[in-house]
Amino acid sequence: MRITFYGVRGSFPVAHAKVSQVGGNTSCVALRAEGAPTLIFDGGTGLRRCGRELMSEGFGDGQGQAAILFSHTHWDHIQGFMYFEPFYRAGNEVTVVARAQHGARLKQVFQGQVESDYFSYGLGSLRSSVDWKGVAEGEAFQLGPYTIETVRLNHPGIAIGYRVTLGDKTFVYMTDTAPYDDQLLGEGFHERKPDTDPKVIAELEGYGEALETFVSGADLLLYDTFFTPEQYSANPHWGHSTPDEGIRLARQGGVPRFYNFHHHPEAWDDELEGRTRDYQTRLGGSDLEIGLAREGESVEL
Amino acid sequence: MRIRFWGVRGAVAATEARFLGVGGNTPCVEVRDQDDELLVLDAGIGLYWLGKRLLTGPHGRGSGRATILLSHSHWDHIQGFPFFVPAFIPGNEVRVLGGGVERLEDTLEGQMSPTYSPLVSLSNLGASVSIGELPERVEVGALAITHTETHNDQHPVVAYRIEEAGRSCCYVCEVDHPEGLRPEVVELARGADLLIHEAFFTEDESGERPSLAGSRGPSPTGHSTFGQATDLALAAGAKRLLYFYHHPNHDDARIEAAVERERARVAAAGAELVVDTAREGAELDV
Repeated sequence: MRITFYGVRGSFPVAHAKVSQVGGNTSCVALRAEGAPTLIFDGGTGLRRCGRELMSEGFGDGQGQAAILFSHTHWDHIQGFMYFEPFYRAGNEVTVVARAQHGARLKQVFQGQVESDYFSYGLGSLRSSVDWKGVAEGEAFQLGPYTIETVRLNHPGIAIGYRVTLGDKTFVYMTDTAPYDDQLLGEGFHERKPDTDPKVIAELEGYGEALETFVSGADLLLYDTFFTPEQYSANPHWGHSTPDEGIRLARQGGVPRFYNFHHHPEAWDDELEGRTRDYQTRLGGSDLEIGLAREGESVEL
Repeated sequence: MRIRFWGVRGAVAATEARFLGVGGNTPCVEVRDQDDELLVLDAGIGLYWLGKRLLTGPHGRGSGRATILLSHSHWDHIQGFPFFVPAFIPGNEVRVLGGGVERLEDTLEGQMSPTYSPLVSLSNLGASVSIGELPERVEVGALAITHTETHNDQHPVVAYRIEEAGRSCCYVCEVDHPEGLRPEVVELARGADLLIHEAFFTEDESGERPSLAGSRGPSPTGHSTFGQATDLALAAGAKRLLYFYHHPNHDDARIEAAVERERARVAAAGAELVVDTAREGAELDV
Protein backbone atom coordinates (compact mmCIF):
# COMPACT_ATOMS: atom_id res chain seq x y z
CA MET A 1 0.00 0.00 0.00
CA ARG A 2 1.04 3.58 -0.66
CA ILE A 3 0.30 6.48 1.72
CA THR A 4 0.30 9.98 0.17
CA PHE A 5 0.17 13.27 2.06
CA TYR A 6 -2.08 15.99 0.60
CA GLY A 7 -2.49 18.14 3.71
CA VAL A 8 -0.27 17.95 6.78
CA ARG A 9 -1.12 21.15 8.71
CA GLY A 10 -3.32 21.55 11.78
CA SER A 11 -5.85 24.27 12.77
CA PHE A 12 -6.03 26.24 9.52
CA PRO A 13 -4.35 26.33 6.10
CA VAL A 14 -1.13 28.30 6.14
CA ALA A 15 -0.22 30.40 3.11
CA HIS A 16 3.27 31.42 4.19
CA ALA A 17 6.63 31.11 2.44
CA LYS A 18 8.15 29.54 5.55
CA VAL A 19 5.92 26.46 5.31
CA SER A 20 5.78 25.99 1.56
CA GLN A 21 8.27 23.09 1.55
CA VAL A 22 6.47 20.95 4.13
CA GLY A 23 3.07 22.27 3.06
CA GLY A 24 0.28 24.50 4.33
CA ASN A 25 -2.91 22.57 3.57
CA THR A 26 -4.98 21.10 6.38
CA SER A 27 -5.21 17.35 7.01
CA CYS A 28 -5.73 14.94 4.16
CA VAL A 29 -3.93 11.64 3.55
CA ALA A 30 -4.69 8.99 0.91
CA LEU A 31 -4.06 5.25 1.00
CA ARG A 32 -3.92 3.47 -2.34
CA ALA A 33 -3.58 -0.25 -2.90
CA GLU A 34 -3.75 -2.25 -6.12
CA GLY A 35 -7.30 -3.28 -6.95
CA ALA A 36 -8.79 -1.81 -3.76
CA PRO A 37 -10.86 1.33 -3.14
CA THR A 38 -8.92 4.49 -2.25
CA LEU A 39 -9.06 5.38 1.41
CA ILE A 40 -8.77 9.04 2.38
CA PHE A 41 -8.18 10.19 5.93
CA ASP A 42 -9.74 13.57 6.73
CA GLY A 43 -11.01 16.24 4.35
CA GLY A 44 -9.00 19.37 5.07
CA THR A 45 -7.99 21.70 2.26
CA GLY A 46 -5.60 19.02 0.97
CA LEU A 47 -8.66 17.10 -0.25
CA ARG A 48 -8.89 19.47 -3.23
CA ARG A 49 -5.64 18.29 -4.78
CA CYS A 50 -6.31 14.69 -3.76
CA GLY A 51 -9.62 14.76 -5.64
CA ARG A 52 -8.00 16.34 -8.69
CA GLU A 53 -5.41 13.55 -8.87
CA LEU A 54 -8.01 10.82 -8.43
CA MET A 55 -9.83 12.03 -11.54
CA SER A 56 -7.10 10.40 -13.63
CA GLU A 57 -7.42 7.15 -11.67
CA GLY A 58 -10.87 5.93 -12.69
CA PHE A 59 -12.85 8.65 -10.90
CA GLY A 60 -12.84 10.77 -14.07
CA ASP A 61 -14.81 8.01 -15.82
CA GLY A 62 -17.25 7.62 -12.97
CA GLN A 63 -15.80 4.27 -11.97
CA GLY A 64 -13.98 5.21 -8.78
CA GLN A 65 -14.60 3.92 -5.29
CA ALA A 66 -13.34 5.80 -2.27
CA ALA A 67 -14.00 6.14 1.43
CA ILE A 68 -13.22 9.29 3.38
CA LEU A 69 -12.58 8.47 7.04
CA PHE A 70 -12.81 11.44 9.38
CA SER A 71 -10.92 11.66 12.65
CA HIS A 72 -13.60 14.17 13.72
CA THR A 73 -15.54 17.04 12.18
CA HIS A 74 -13.73 20.15 13.42
CA TRP A 75 -13.33 22.65 10.59
CA ASP A 76 -9.77 21.95 9.64
CA HIS A 77 -10.69 18.32 8.97
CA ILE A 78 -13.76 18.94 6.81
CA GLN A 79 -13.13 22.26 5.06
CA GLY A 80 -12.06 20.64 1.78
CA PHE A 81 -15.13 18.39 1.56
CA MET A 82 -17.09 20.36 -1.02
CA TYR A 83 -13.99 20.72 -3.23
CA PHE A 84 -13.53 16.96 -3.78
CA GLU A 85 -13.82 16.58 -7.54
CA PRO A 86 -14.93 12.89 -7.67
CA PHE A 87 -18.19 13.95 -5.95
CA TYR A 88 -19.22 15.74 -9.14
CA ARG A 89 -18.94 12.75 -11.51
CA ALA A 90 -21.95 10.42 -11.53
CA GLY A 91 -21.03 6.78 -11.09
CA ASN A 92 -18.36 7.30 -8.47
CA GLU A 93 -19.08 5.73 -5.10
CA VAL A 94 -17.94 7.49 -1.96
CA THR A 95 -18.39 6.26 1.60
CA VAL A 96 -18.11 8.88 4.33
CA VAL A 97 -17.04 7.44 7.67
CA ALA A 98 -17.06 9.46 10.88
CA ARG A 99 -17.86 9.12 14.52
CA ALA A 100 -21.59 9.59 14.84
CA GLN A 101 -24.61 7.88 16.27
CA HIS A 102 -26.16 7.00 12.94
CA GLY A 103 -26.02 7.84 9.27
CA ALA A 104 -28.69 10.52 9.17
CA ARG A 105 -27.03 12.59 11.86
CA LEU A 106 -23.69 12.34 10.07
CA LYS A 107 -25.18 13.73 6.88
CA GLN A 108 -26.59 16.66 8.90
CA VAL A 109 -23.11 17.51 10.13
CA PHE A 110 -21.89 17.91 6.57
CA GLN A 111 -25.10 19.64 5.50
CA GLY A 112 -24.66 22.08 8.38
CA GLN A 113 -21.32 23.31 7.08
CA VAL A 114 -22.81 24.20 3.70
CA GLU A 115 -26.01 25.95 4.77
CA SER A 116 -26.54 29.21 2.91
CA ASP A 117 -25.15 31.30 5.77
CA TYR A 118 -21.81 29.56 5.25
CA PHE A 119 -21.50 28.32 1.68
CA SER A 120 -22.88 28.86 -1.80
CA TYR A 121 -24.07 25.36 -2.72
CA GLY A 122 -25.33 22.33 -0.87
CA LEU A 123 -24.97 18.56 -0.78
CA GLY A 124 -27.65 18.41 -3.50
CA SER A 125 -24.98 19.26 -6.05
CA LEU A 126 -23.04 16.04 -5.41
CA ARG A 127 -23.41 13.59 -8.33
CA SER A 128 -21.60 10.54 -6.97
CA SER A 129 -23.33 8.19 -4.60
CA VAL A 130 -22.56 8.95 -0.96
CA ASP A 131 -22.95 6.36 1.76
CA TRP A 132 -22.93 7.93 5.22
CA LYS A 133 -21.49 5.51 7.72
CA GLY A 134 -21.41 6.48 11.37
CA VAL A 135 -19.05 4.51 13.59
CA ALA A 136 -18.62 4.39 17.33
CA GLU A 137 -15.14 4.64 18.83
CA GLY A 138 -13.79 1.15 19.33
CA GLU A 139 -15.90 -0.27 16.50
CA ALA A 140 -14.23 -2.44 13.86
CA PHE A 141 -15.59 -2.97 10.35
CA GLN A 142 -14.73 -4.31 6.94
CA LEU A 143 -14.55 -1.91 4.00
CA GLY A 144 -13.99 -3.84 0.78
CA PRO A 145 -10.75 -5.76 1.32
CA TYR A 146 -9.70 -3.57 4.27
CA THR A 147 -10.08 -4.43 7.93
CA ILE A 148 -10.55 -1.18 9.82
CA GLU A 149 -10.41 -0.70 13.57
CA THR A 150 -11.07 2.51 15.49
CA VAL A 151 -10.03 3.89 18.85
CA ARG A 152 -11.03 6.84 21.00
CA LEU A 153 -8.55 9.72 20.96
CA ASN A 154 -8.11 12.43 23.59
CA HIS A 155 -9.57 15.52 21.94
CA PRO A 156 -12.33 18.03 22.78
CA GLY A 157 -15.53 16.47 21.44
CA ILE A 158 -13.67 13.15 20.89
CA ALA A 159 -11.75 12.17 17.76
CA ILE A 160 -11.05 8.65 16.54
CA GLY A 161 -7.93 6.94 15.24
CA TYR A 162 -7.98 4.37 12.43
CA ARG A 163 -5.99 1.17 12.03
CA VAL A 164 -6.21 -0.24 8.51
CA THR A 165 -4.99 -3.70 7.60
CA LEU A 166 -4.73 -5.11 4.09
CA GLY A 167 -2.89 -8.39 3.64
CA ASP A 168 0.22 -8.22 5.79
CA LYS A 169 0.40 -4.40 5.96
CA THR A 170 -1.06 -2.17 8.65
CA PHE A 171 -1.30 1.63 8.72
CA VAL A 172 -2.36 3.67 11.76
CA TYR A 173 -3.76 7.21 11.35
CA MET A 174 -3.86 8.98 14.70
CA THR A 175 -4.80 12.66 14.93
CA ASP A 176 -6.06 14.78 16.84
CA THR A 177 -5.09 13.60 20.28
CA ALA A 178 -3.41 14.67 23.47
CA PRO A 179 -1.50 12.08 25.48
CA TYR A 180 -3.78 10.37 28.01
CA ASP A 181 -1.78 11.95 30.82
CA ASP A 182 -2.90 15.30 32.16
CA GLN A 183 -6.43 15.76 30.88
CA LEU A 184 -9.35 13.61 29.86
CA LEU A 185 -10.98 15.38 26.95
CA GLY A 186 -14.29 14.52 25.45
CA GLU A 187 -17.67 16.08 26.05
CA GLY A 188 -16.00 17.91 28.95
CA PHE A 189 -12.58 18.52 30.48
CA HIS A 190 -11.18 16.58 33.42
CA GLU A 191 -7.84 17.65 34.73
CA ARG A 192 -5.66 15.08 36.45
CA LYS A 193 -4.94 16.39 39.94
CA PRO A 194 -4.31 14.73 43.30
CA ASP A 195 -8.02 14.97 44.17
CA THR A 196 -9.35 13.88 40.77
CA ASP A 197 -12.13 11.29 40.88
CA PRO A 198 -10.44 7.85 40.71
CA LYS A 199 -12.96 6.88 38.03
CA VAL A 200 -11.55 9.61 35.76
CA ILE A 201 -7.99 8.46 36.46
CA ALA A 202 -8.97 4.89 35.64
CA GLU A 203 -10.55 6.08 32.39
CA LEU A 204 -7.43 8.02 31.44
CA GLU A 205 -5.25 5.00 32.10
CA GLY A 206 -7.62 2.64 30.32
CA TYR A 207 -7.79 4.77 27.18
CA GLY A 208 -4.02 5.23 27.26
CA GLU A 209 -3.44 1.48 27.40
CA ALA A 210 -5.93 0.97 24.58
CA LEU A 211 -3.80 3.22 22.35
CA GLU A 212 -0.72 1.13 23.08
CA THR A 213 -2.53 -2.03 22.02
CA PHE A 214 -4.01 -0.25 19.01
CA VAL A 215 -0.68 0.72 17.40
CA SER A 216 1.04 -2.54 18.26
CA GLY A 217 2.58 -4.29 15.24
CA ALA A 218 1.63 -1.58 12.72
CA ASP A 219 4.00 -0.82 9.82
CA LEU A 220 3.52 2.94 10.00
CA LEU A 221 2.16 5.28 12.65
CA LEU A 222 1.12 8.72 11.39
CA TYR A 223 0.67 10.83 14.50
CA ASP A 224 -0.40 14.26 15.77
CA THR A 225 2.82 16.12 16.61
CA PHE A 226 1.24 19.59 16.70
CA PHE A 227 3.18 20.57 19.81
CA THR A 228 6.72 20.59 21.07
CA PRO A 229 6.87 19.33 24.67
CA GLU A 230 7.07 22.97 25.90
CA GLN A 231 4.02 23.99 23.89
CA TYR A 232 2.12 20.95 25.13
CA SER A 233 2.82 21.82 28.76
CA ALA A 234 1.27 25.24 28.22
CA ASN A 235 -1.81 23.83 26.44
CA PRO A 236 -2.55 20.26 27.60
CA HIS A 237 -6.30 20.86 27.12
CA TRP A 238 -6.04 21.53 23.36
CA GLY A 239 -6.11 17.85 22.46
CA HIS A 240 -2.80 17.69 20.62
CA SER A 241 0.38 15.76 21.21
CA THR A 242 4.15 15.74 20.80
CA PRO A 243 6.71 13.65 18.90
CA ASP A 244 7.96 12.35 22.27
CA GLU A 245 4.61 10.79 23.12
CA GLY A 246 4.13 9.39 19.60
CA ILE A 247 7.62 7.90 19.52
CA ARG A 248 6.98 6.32 22.92
CA LEU A 249 3.84 4.68 21.51
CA ALA A 250 5.68 3.52 18.38
CA ARG A 251 8.53 2.02 20.44
CA GLN A 252 6.13 0.33 22.84
CA GLY A 253 4.21 -1.22 19.94
CA GLY A 254 7.26 -2.26 17.93
CA VAL A 255 6.25 0.05 15.05
CA PRO A 256 9.22 0.51 12.68
CA ARG A 257 8.15 3.81 11.08
CA PHE A 258 6.84 6.93 12.80
CA TYR A 259 5.80 10.05 10.88
CA ASN A 260 5.18 13.50 12.34
CA PHE A 261 1.87 14.96 11.14
CA HIS A 262 -0.72 17.70 11.78
CA HIS A 263 1.94 20.36 12.13
CA HIS A 264 1.44 23.57 14.08
CA PRO A 265 0.61 26.54 11.77
CA GLU A 266 3.81 28.25 12.85
CA ALA A 267 6.11 25.24 12.70
CA TRP A 268 8.34 26.56 9.90
CA ASP A 269 10.04 24.28 7.37
CA ASP A 270 13.56 24.54 8.79
CA GLU A 271 12.30 23.95 12.33
CA LEU A 272 10.33 20.83 11.36
CA GLU A 273 13.21 19.44 9.30
CA GLY A 274 15.71 20.10 12.08
CA ARG A 275 13.47 18.71 14.79
CA THR A 276 12.80 15.52 12.81
CA ARG A 277 16.53 14.94 12.28
CA ASP A 278 17.13 15.56 15.96
CA TYR A 279 14.47 13.04 17.03
CA GLN A 280 15.88 10.48 14.58
CA THR A 281 19.31 10.86 16.17
CA ARG A 282 18.12 10.88 19.77
CA LEU A 283 15.19 8.47 19.77
CA GLY A 284 15.26 6.73 16.38
CA GLY A 285 18.06 4.39 15.46
CA SER A 286 18.24 1.35 13.24
CA ASP A 287 14.88 -0.05 14.34
CA LEU A 288 12.79 3.13 14.18
CA GLU A 289 12.54 5.51 11.22
CA ILE A 290 11.30 8.97 12.27
CA GLY A 291 9.91 10.89 9.31
CA LEU A 292 8.11 14.10 8.51
CA ALA A 293 4.84 14.13 6.57
CA ARG A 294 5.40 16.52 3.65
CA GLU A 295 2.70 17.53 1.22
CA GLY A 296 2.95 15.69 -2.10
CA GLU A 297 5.21 12.94 -0.78
CA SER A 298 4.36 9.26 -0.41
CA VAL A 299 5.45 6.38 1.79
CA GLU A 300 5.37 2.80 0.47
CA LEU A 301 4.55 0.07 2.94
CA MET B 1 -6.15 56.30 6.98
CA ARG B 2 -3.63 53.49 6.63
CA ILE B 3 -4.45 50.12 5.09
CA ARG B 4 -2.73 46.76 5.22
CA PHE B 5 -3.74 43.54 3.49
CA TRP B 6 -3.58 40.30 5.49
CA GLY B 7 -5.68 38.10 3.20
CA VAL B 8 -6.54 38.71 -0.46
CA ARG B 9 -7.64 35.24 -1.63
CA GLY B 10 -11.21 34.09 -2.25
CA ALA B 11 -12.98 30.86 -1.24
CA VAL B 12 -10.13 28.71 0.01
CA ALA B 13 -6.51 29.38 0.96
CA ALA B 14 -3.88 28.99 -1.78
CA THR B 15 -0.79 27.73 0.00
CA GLU B 16 1.72 26.90 -2.74
CA ALA B 17 4.71 29.16 -3.32
CA ARG B 18 3.51 30.36 -6.75
CA PHE B 19 0.54 32.10 -5.08
CA LEU B 20 2.40 33.81 -2.28
CA GLY B 21 3.66 36.89 -4.15
CA VAL B 22 0.06 38.14 -4.17
CA GLY B 23 -0.96 36.07 -1.16
CA GLY B 24 -2.98 32.99 -0.31
CA ASN B 25 -4.96 33.85 2.83
CA THR B 26 -8.72 34.34 2.74
CA PRO B 27 -9.93 37.96 3.11
CA CYS B 28 -8.79 40.29 5.85
CA VAL B 29 -7.89 43.98 5.63
CA GLU B 30 -6.61 46.18 8.45
CA VAL B 31 -7.63 49.85 8.44
CA ARG B 32 -6.21 52.37 10.95
CA ASP B 33 -7.34 55.91 11.57
CA GLN B 34 -4.98 58.79 12.34
CA ASP B 35 -4.76 57.70 16.01
CA ASP B 36 -4.23 54.02 15.21
CA GLU B 37 -7.81 53.04 16.06
CA LEU B 38 -8.46 49.63 14.45
CA LEU B 39 -11.06 48.58 11.91
CA VAL B 40 -10.90 45.15 10.29
CA LEU B 41 -12.68 44.19 7.08
CA ASP B 42 -13.57 40.50 6.97
CA ALA B 43 -12.31 37.70 9.18
CA GLY B 44 -10.71 35.21 6.78
CA ILE B 45 -7.54 33.39 7.73
CA GLY B 46 -5.55 36.59 7.32
CA LEU B 47 -7.10 37.61 10.66
CA TYR B 48 -4.92 35.07 12.49
CA TRP B 49 -1.77 36.82 11.28
CA LEU B 50 -3.17 40.27 12.04
CA GLY B 51 -4.10 39.08 15.54
CA LYS B 52 -0.60 37.81 16.08
CA ARG B 53 0.85 41.19 15.10
CA LEU B 54 -1.59 42.96 17.44
CA LEU B 55 -0.24 41.06 20.45
CA THR B 56 2.80 43.34 20.56
CA GLY B 57 0.50 46.32 21.27
CA PRO B 58 -2.47 47.03 23.57
CA HIS B 59 -4.31 43.89 22.39
CA GLY B 60 -1.56 41.79 23.93
CA ARG B 61 -2.16 43.49 27.30
CA GLY B 62 -5.95 43.26 27.30
CA SER B 63 -6.51 46.91 26.56
CA GLY B 64 -7.13 46.74 22.81
CA ARG B 65 -10.23 47.44 20.77
CA ALA B 66 -11.22 46.13 17.35
CA THR B 67 -14.27 46.51 15.15
CA ILE B 68 -14.65 43.77 12.54
CA LEU B 69 -17.03 44.44 9.66
CA LEU B 70 -18.03 41.43 7.58
CA SER B 71 -18.98 41.63 3.93
CA HIS B 72 -20.50 38.21 4.03
CA SER B 73 -20.83 35.26 6.43
CA HIS B 74 -19.55 32.49 4.18
CA TRP B 75 -16.68 30.43 5.58
CA ASP B 76 -13.90 32.24 3.87
CA HIS B 77 -14.98 35.48 5.56
CA ILE B 78 -15.30 34.13 9.10
CA GLN B 79 -12.87 31.21 9.34
CA GLY B 80 -10.14 33.34 10.91
CA PHE B 81 -12.36 34.52 13.77
CA PRO B 82 -11.87 31.43 16.00
CA PHE B 83 -8.11 31.98 15.64
CA PHE B 84 -8.08 35.71 16.44
CA VAL B 85 -5.97 35.56 19.58
CA PRO B 86 -6.95 39.05 20.92
CA ALA B 87 -10.52 37.71 21.24
CA PHE B 88 -9.27 35.31 23.92
CA ILE B 89 -7.61 37.96 26.07
CA PRO B 90 -9.78 39.39 28.87
CA GLY B 91 -10.02 43.15 28.74
CA ASN B 92 -9.99 43.44 24.96
CA GLU B 93 -13.15 44.65 23.27
CA VAL B 94 -14.11 43.09 19.97
CA ARG B 95 -17.15 44.19 18.03
CA VAL B 96 -18.36 42.20 14.99
CA LEU B 97 -20.98 43.62 12.65
CA GLY B 98 -22.41 43.09 9.18
CA GLY B 99 -22.33 39.95 7.07
CA GLY B 100 -25.77 40.46 5.58
CA VAL B 101 -27.35 37.68 7.66
CA GLU B 102 -30.38 38.13 9.83
CA ARG B 103 -28.71 37.20 13.12
CA LEU B 104 -24.96 37.29 12.83
CA GLU B 105 -24.59 36.05 16.40
CA ASP B 106 -26.34 32.77 15.51
CA THR B 107 -24.12 32.33 12.47
CA LEU B 108 -20.94 32.84 14.47
CA GLU B 109 -22.26 30.69 17.32
CA GLY B 110 -22.92 27.92 14.78
CA GLN B 111 -19.33 28.17 13.61
CA MET B 112 -18.14 27.47 17.16
CA SER B 113 -20.56 24.68 17.97
CA PRO B 114 -18.86 21.56 19.37
CA THR B 115 -19.52 19.67 16.15
CA TYR B 116 -17.17 21.99 14.28
CA SER B 117 -14.94 23.64 16.85
CA PRO B 118 -13.20 22.95 20.14
CA LEU B 119 -14.32 26.40 21.33
CA VAL B 120 -17.91 25.13 21.77
CA SER B 121 -19.44 28.58 22.21
CA LEU B 122 -18.80 32.28 21.71
CA SER B 123 -19.17 32.64 25.46
CA ASN B 124 -15.79 30.93 25.87
CA LEU B 125 -13.96 33.84 24.29
CA GLY B 126 -12.19 35.78 27.02
CA ALA B 127 -12.52 39.25 25.55
CA SER B 128 -15.70 41.24 25.66
CA VAL B 129 -17.20 40.32 22.29
CA SER B 130 -20.28 42.06 20.99
CA ILE B 131 -22.08 40.99 17.86
CA GLY B 132 -24.87 43.19 16.74
CA GLU B 133 -26.87 44.75 13.98
CA LEU B 134 -25.08 46.97 11.56
CA PRO B 135 -26.23 50.58 12.05
CA GLU B 136 -26.43 52.96 9.07
CA ARG B 137 -23.27 54.64 10.23
CA VAL B 138 -20.46 53.10 12.28
CA GLU B 139 -17.70 55.13 13.88
CA VAL B 140 -14.30 53.71 14.68
CA GLY B 141 -12.16 56.54 16.04
CA ALA B 142 -12.04 59.09 13.27
CA LEU B 143 -13.25 56.60 10.67
CA ALA B 144 -16.90 56.95 9.61
CA ILE B 145 -18.28 53.91 7.84
CA THR B 146 -21.41 53.69 5.72
CA HIS B 147 -22.54 50.71 3.69
CA THR B 148 -24.88 49.40 1.05
CA GLU B 149 -26.60 46.06 0.97
CA THR B 150 -25.98 44.26 -2.27
CA HIS B 151 -25.70 40.72 -3.58
CA ASN B 152 -23.52 37.89 -4.69
CA ASP B 153 -25.94 35.89 -6.81
CA GLN B 154 -28.81 35.36 -4.31
CA HIS B 155 -26.63 35.73 -1.20
CA PRO B 156 -26.75 39.05 0.67
CA VAL B 157 -23.48 40.97 0.90
CA VAL B 158 -22.52 44.26 2.52
CA ALA B 159 -20.16 46.70 0.76
CA TYR B 160 -18.52 49.42 2.84
CA ARG B 161 -17.34 53.00 2.42
CA ILE B 162 -14.87 54.32 4.98
CA GLU B 163 -14.13 58.03 5.30
CA GLU B 164 -11.67 60.05 7.30
CA ALA B 165 -10.78 63.71 6.87
CA GLY B 166 -12.16 63.90 3.33
CA ARG B 167 -10.44 60.72 2.16
CA SER B 168 -12.37 57.57 1.28
CA CYS B 169 -11.87 53.86 0.77
CA CYS B 170 -14.52 51.40 -0.49
CA TYR B 171 -14.52 47.66 0.13
CA VAL B 172 -16.52 45.59 -2.32
CA CYS B 173 -16.01 41.86 -1.87
CA GLU B 174 -18.18 38.98 -3.18
CA VAL B 175 -20.24 41.15 -5.47
CA ASP B 176 -21.26 40.28 -9.00
CA HIS B 177 -22.62 42.52 -11.72
CA PRO B 178 -24.87 40.17 -13.70
CA GLU B 179 -26.78 42.79 -15.73
CA GLY B 180 -24.60 45.84 -16.01
CA LEU B 181 -22.98 47.33 -12.94
CA ARG B 182 -24.99 47.20 -9.73
CA PRO B 183 -26.10 50.84 -9.28
CA GLU B 184 -25.93 50.76 -5.48
CA VAL B 185 -22.26 49.78 -5.66
CA VAL B 186 -21.43 52.46 -8.24
CA GLU B 187 -23.10 54.99 -5.94
CA LEU B 188 -21.20 53.75 -2.89
CA ALA B 189 -17.84 53.97 -4.69
CA ARG B 190 -18.49 57.44 -6.17
CA GLY B 191 -15.25 59.44 -6.18
CA ALA B 192 -13.46 57.05 -3.80
CA ASP B 193 -9.74 57.60 -3.33
CA LEU B 194 -9.31 53.84 -3.13
CA LEU B 195 -11.62 51.08 -4.29
CA ILE B 196 -10.90 47.51 -3.19
CA HIS B 197 -13.02 45.36 -5.50
CA GLU B 198 -13.16 41.63 -5.98
CA ALA B 199 -11.82 40.16 -9.23
CA PHE B 200 -12.40 36.42 -8.85
CA PHE B 201 -12.42 35.67 -12.57
CA THR B 202 -10.27 36.77 -15.48
CA GLU B 203 -12.08 37.93 -18.63
CA ASP B 204 -11.52 34.65 -20.50
CA GLU B 205 -13.17 32.77 -17.63
CA SER B 206 -16.35 34.84 -17.47
CA GLY B 207 -18.31 32.25 -19.48
CA GLU B 208 -16.91 29.09 -17.98
CA ARG B 209 -16.50 30.35 -14.37
CA PRO B 210 -14.07 27.59 -13.29
CA SER B 211 -15.08 25.62 -10.27
CA LEU B 212 -12.89 25.05 -7.25
CA ALA B 213 -13.60 21.34 -7.66
CA GLY B 214 -12.38 20.83 -11.22
CA SER B 215 -14.15 20.85 -14.56
CA ARG B 216 -17.23 19.01 -13.30
CA GLY B 217 -17.65 20.90 -10.06
CA PRO B 218 -20.34 23.56 -9.55
CA SER B 219 -19.41 26.89 -11.13
CA PRO B 220 -19.05 29.62 -8.52
CA THR B 221 -21.80 32.17 -8.91
CA GLY B 222 -21.87 35.77 -7.88
CA HIS B 223 -18.39 37.01 -8.71
CA SER B 224 -16.85 39.76 -10.80
CA THR B 225 -14.10 39.75 -13.39
CA PHE B 226 -11.08 42.06 -13.39
CA GLY B 227 -12.78 43.96 -16.22
CA GLN B 228 -15.99 44.49 -14.27
CA ALA B 229 -14.01 45.81 -11.32
CA THR B 230 -12.28 48.25 -13.67
CA ASP B 231 -15.59 49.25 -15.26
CA LEU B 232 -17.04 49.94 -11.84
CA ALA B 233 -14.06 52.04 -10.77
CA LEU B 234 -14.31 54.05 -13.99
CA ALA B 235 -18.08 54.50 -13.70
CA ALA B 236 -17.74 55.65 -10.09
CA GLY B 237 -14.81 57.94 -10.82
CA ALA B 238 -12.60 56.19 -8.25
CA LYS B 239 -8.97 57.27 -8.26
CA ARG B 240 -7.27 54.02 -7.46
CA LEU B 241 -8.40 50.38 -7.75
CA LEU B 242 -6.93 47.28 -6.14
CA TYR B 243 -8.10 43.86 -7.36
CA PHE B 244 -8.94 41.58 -4.49
CA TYR B 245 -10.46 38.16 -3.61
CA HIS B 246 -8.48 36.24 -6.18
CA HIS B 247 -9.48 32.79 -7.44
CA PRO B 248 -7.44 30.04 -5.71
CA ASN B 249 -6.35 28.78 -9.17
CA HIS B 250 -4.83 32.15 -10.11
CA ASP B 251 -1.12 32.22 -9.42
CA ASP B 252 1.02 35.37 -9.27
CA ALA B 253 1.83 35.35 -12.99
CA ARG B 254 -1.81 35.01 -13.97
CA ILE B 255 -2.89 37.86 -11.71
CA GLU B 256 -0.08 40.15 -12.90
CA ALA B 257 -1.05 39.43 -16.53
CA ALA B 258 -4.69 40.29 -15.81
CA VAL B 259 -3.62 43.54 -14.12
CA GLU B 260 -1.48 44.45 -17.17
CA ARG B 261 -4.45 43.92 -19.43
CA GLU B 262 -6.58 46.23 -17.28
CA ARG B 263 -3.84 48.89 -17.22
CA ALA B 264 -3.83 48.87 -20.99
CA ARG B 265 -7.62 49.23 -21.07
CA VAL B 266 -7.55 52.13 -18.65
CA ALA B 267 -4.82 53.83 -20.67
CA ALA B 268 -6.74 53.27 -23.92
CA ALA B 269 -9.77 54.91 -22.32
CA GLY B 270 -7.60 57.92 -21.44
CA ALA B 271 -8.60 57.57 -17.78
CA GLU B 272 -6.41 58.49 -14.82
CA LEU B 273 -7.44 55.53 -12.72
CA VAL B 274 -4.47 53.70 -11.15
CA VAL B 275 -4.91 49.91 -10.95
CA ASP B 276 -2.96 47.13 -9.29
CA THR B 277 -3.57 43.94 -7.33
CA ALA B 278 -3.94 43.98 -3.57
CA ARG B 279 -0.97 42.12 -2.07
CA GLU B 280 -0.65 40.58 1.36
CA GLY B 281 1.80 42.50 3.48
CA ALA B 282 1.40 45.66 1.41
CA GLU B 283 0.65 48.84 3.37
CA LEU B 284 -0.67 52.04 1.90
CA ASP B 285 -1.88 55.44 2.96
CA VAL B 286 -5.18 56.73 1.67
